Amino acid sequence: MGTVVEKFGEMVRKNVEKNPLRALELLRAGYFISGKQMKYMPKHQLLPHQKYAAVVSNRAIRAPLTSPDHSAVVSVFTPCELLHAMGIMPQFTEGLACYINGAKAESAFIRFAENAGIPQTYCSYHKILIGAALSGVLPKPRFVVNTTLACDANNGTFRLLADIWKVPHFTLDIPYRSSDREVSYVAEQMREFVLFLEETLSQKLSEKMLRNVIRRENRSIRLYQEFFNELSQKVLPNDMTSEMYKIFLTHVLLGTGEAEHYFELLVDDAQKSEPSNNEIRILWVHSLPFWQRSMKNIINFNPRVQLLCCDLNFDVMVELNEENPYESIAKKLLSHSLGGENTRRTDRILEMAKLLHADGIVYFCHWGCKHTLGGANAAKCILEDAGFPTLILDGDGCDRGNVNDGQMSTRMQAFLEILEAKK
Amino acid sequence: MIEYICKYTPVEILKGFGVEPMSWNCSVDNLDQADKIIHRNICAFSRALIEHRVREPENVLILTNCCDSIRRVRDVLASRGQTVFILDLPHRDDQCSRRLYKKELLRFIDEFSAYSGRKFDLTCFKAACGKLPLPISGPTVALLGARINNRLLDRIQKLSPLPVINLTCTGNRRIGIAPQTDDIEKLMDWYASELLSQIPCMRMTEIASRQELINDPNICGIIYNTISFCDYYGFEYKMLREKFSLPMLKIETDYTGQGDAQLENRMSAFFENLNVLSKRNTCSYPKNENYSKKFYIAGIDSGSTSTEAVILDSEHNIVSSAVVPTGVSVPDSAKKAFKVALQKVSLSEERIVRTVSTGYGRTAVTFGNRDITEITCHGKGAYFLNPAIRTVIDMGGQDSKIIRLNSDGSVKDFAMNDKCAAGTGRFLEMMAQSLGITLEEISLCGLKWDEEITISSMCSVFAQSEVVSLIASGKKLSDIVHGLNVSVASKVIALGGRTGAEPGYMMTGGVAKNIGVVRAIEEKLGVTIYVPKEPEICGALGAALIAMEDIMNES
Repeated sequence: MGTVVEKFGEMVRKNVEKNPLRALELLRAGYFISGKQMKYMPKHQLLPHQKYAAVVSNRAIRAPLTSPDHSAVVSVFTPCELLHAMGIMPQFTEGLACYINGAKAESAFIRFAENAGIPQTYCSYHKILIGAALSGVLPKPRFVVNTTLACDANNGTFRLLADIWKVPHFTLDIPYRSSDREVSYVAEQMREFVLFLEETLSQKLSEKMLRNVIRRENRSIRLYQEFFNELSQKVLPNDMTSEMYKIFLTHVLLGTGEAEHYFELLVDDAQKSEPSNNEIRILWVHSLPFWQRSMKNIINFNPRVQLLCCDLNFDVMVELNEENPYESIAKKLLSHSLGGENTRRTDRILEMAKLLHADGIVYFCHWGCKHTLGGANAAKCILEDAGFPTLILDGDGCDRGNVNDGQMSTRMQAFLEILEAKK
Repeated sequence: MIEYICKYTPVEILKGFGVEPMSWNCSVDNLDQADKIIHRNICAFSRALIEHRVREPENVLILTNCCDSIRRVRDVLASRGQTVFILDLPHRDDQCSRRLYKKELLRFIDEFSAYSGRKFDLTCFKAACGKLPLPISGPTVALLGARINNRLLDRIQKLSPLPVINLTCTGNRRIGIAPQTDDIEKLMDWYASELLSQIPCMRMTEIASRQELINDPNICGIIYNTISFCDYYGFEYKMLREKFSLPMLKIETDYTGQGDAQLENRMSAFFENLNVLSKRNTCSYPKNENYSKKFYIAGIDSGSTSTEAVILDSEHNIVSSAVVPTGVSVPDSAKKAFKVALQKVSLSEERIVRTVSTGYGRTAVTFGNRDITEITCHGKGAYFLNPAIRTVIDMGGQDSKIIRLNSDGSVKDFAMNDKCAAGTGRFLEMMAQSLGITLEEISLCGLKWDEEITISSMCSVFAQSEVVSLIASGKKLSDIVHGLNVSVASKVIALGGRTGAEPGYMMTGGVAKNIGVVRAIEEKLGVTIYVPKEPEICGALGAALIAMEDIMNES
């Protein structure tokens, strides 16, 4: 299988520059086939919620590639409730970049972006997205939206995307503080966002549809909380790829029927799983190097290692008020754990580490993420002071050419050995 | 003492408290302390600021919420008990954001008053407003992009033949005259608007008005600064490179003085090629009657690995050349190359009427009449050898360059590798060492390959361990070398950028003798590259040609 994907990636890479439409066709076909494979021949170790996440995420990536007029390219923390209420499928930076990595084609897109002048030090997820847009492989969406939350790269990338495609662009500015005046500021922007959408799509936002989205989202959040309560006492086989798929469900797909069904399956799988049995319980911070064989060998479905969750999958779990949707979305954005001071994030990690009985925390420093990198040392001090051994692990979530594989796996393995010795 | 770093800081409010804040914009000698407490891969300015604050923690620091790195600097310093204020600066500039920032300013006044015990004086505040930057008058070099430290700014001003205006993110601060009211709400309403409506930095959402910065017809050239691991300004540079025709030099700085020598080299080359070249750089030599007769001139290229000398006669014929390794003494190596070239044609030193030096050691060549950067010299030499050349790929021991030429042979633009060894002769040396072969062998070994191997690591050190792994996995030597050649080719092509290179390619420098690398670049570019018979003497030849021009200009 590895050789087939390698050959496929080579074909995509060769076409990125010379024949971008051919590269797009190849990606569409490749994702179509892998979607079928995930649906009908999934890996035997996967639990029902994981199999479902793979299929739904595949669909979410393919839809904007096949029907770009009904899609928008968004940053990961963009509140997508309004988009779902208006029938727009969001395509997000990290999701697309990881899928391109899955096709073993990321190097061509990164090279394209860097050759065009995008700094080498820029976040690899963003470089892949920019390379995909600049090369003409990624079809033009209806519009682009980003927030200023957490990641500086959003400001540069989305402005550039709008310029490349000549499509409307909306930025939601999320302040650092989160008092009532900031709530009003963001809520006002949410109302502007509605006008932007209505004008761009030439259709009115249906309040009824938005209510339905919010109700689904709230039910999903309640199910998700139930899952964490279960997980605190259980062991649930997990892998890095499934944890990345979960980001689709906890972010851009939240509020959809698919996401709600996913959380139902998640709770069901947790309820059926075995009680915790002295395994090493790891909480992960930031994205995961799901593609890296050496890391997969150490973490994925390892009966001694429970990958509990990555913090991006519990960054904000707030129910919305359907009677006051814009203020409540504003409050949700402003209470995001990646906003404000770094302690907001570390407090949330600590809260979950305690709830889930974590033995250790892996703080993954994805290349180019200044937010995460800048907070690494301070977070390690806080987490270790609270009794959670923490490993700072430098790596790259999607660029094979940017890691020292041997060093990473040695550090990860040594960390697990330390935790094992404490058992 | 109160320090601040950003032009959106409410400096005038601080003056309203009777304090005189200082903009901190210095370089540091090293980042040893910063590296202990914050990750290395965040913006270099932020690390320098931490280094400074660890050494001098007493001052109050005022920050704005300007980027991810600075937010984390605030956290780090606050956790060490330092007094740090942060203003929540909106990204947008509209009515809502102005209202929000006004409230933030009022909050700051209360917070600072409580901290300092001082009273905010509206009269002092209003008196501090009304400071506008002077308009540009006459030909000017604009410094754009991210902030640049004071030491380097001073150096640029000294090197430039024209006045330099600082239009980086910290420059061009504009606050108008305050309205005559004592209503603090109204004043802060106005002040928030003044602060937010300045020509925006790249962190702001709406940046169209940055166009104003380069619209001034007095701007003759741009030095575009980026800071390592601050990515905001790479985007604007990309746009400017594509849409504007002004001479532009991109530099990357890191708030230490470690790369200053290379930066100065590049800036000198840029200034040499500005159309409005100052008279300051042209030396006046005494006229020599003998010039009308046959004479000889010399060019010396003092490189990091080898030193080359070229002797030209007055008919522009290359009469001799020499290449010697650069030893520990740059002047001695230059002298040696010069003597070897002379001995080859039995010329005495006295017959050489003019010598120009180039290369990294150019200023150390004691017997030269003047020095010129290797960028100008390689361009000059390449054009002399083949006037159809428009892009020179020069790959030397420690750096690689892409030099674009105008149709008259003058340098249009150039790009150089920064501090990374990937894509240089040194990289190939390291790889040959890992493979246990010589440089001659590595040149030919990759020409016959079977399997396409991708060396994916960008970093030379990572690539070296990748090569070791490939050897261990039993891959064929020729396939590994071919993979390396392709990797070097990708790196050097990336240097030129997609829009940076035009057909009519020549390759110079020692690496041009590596046939495998040349073929890989040709394949990637889809063109044939002209490689002169002696590619490593091109810089020295250019230096000799400049010496010749000097003589011609004088006579």
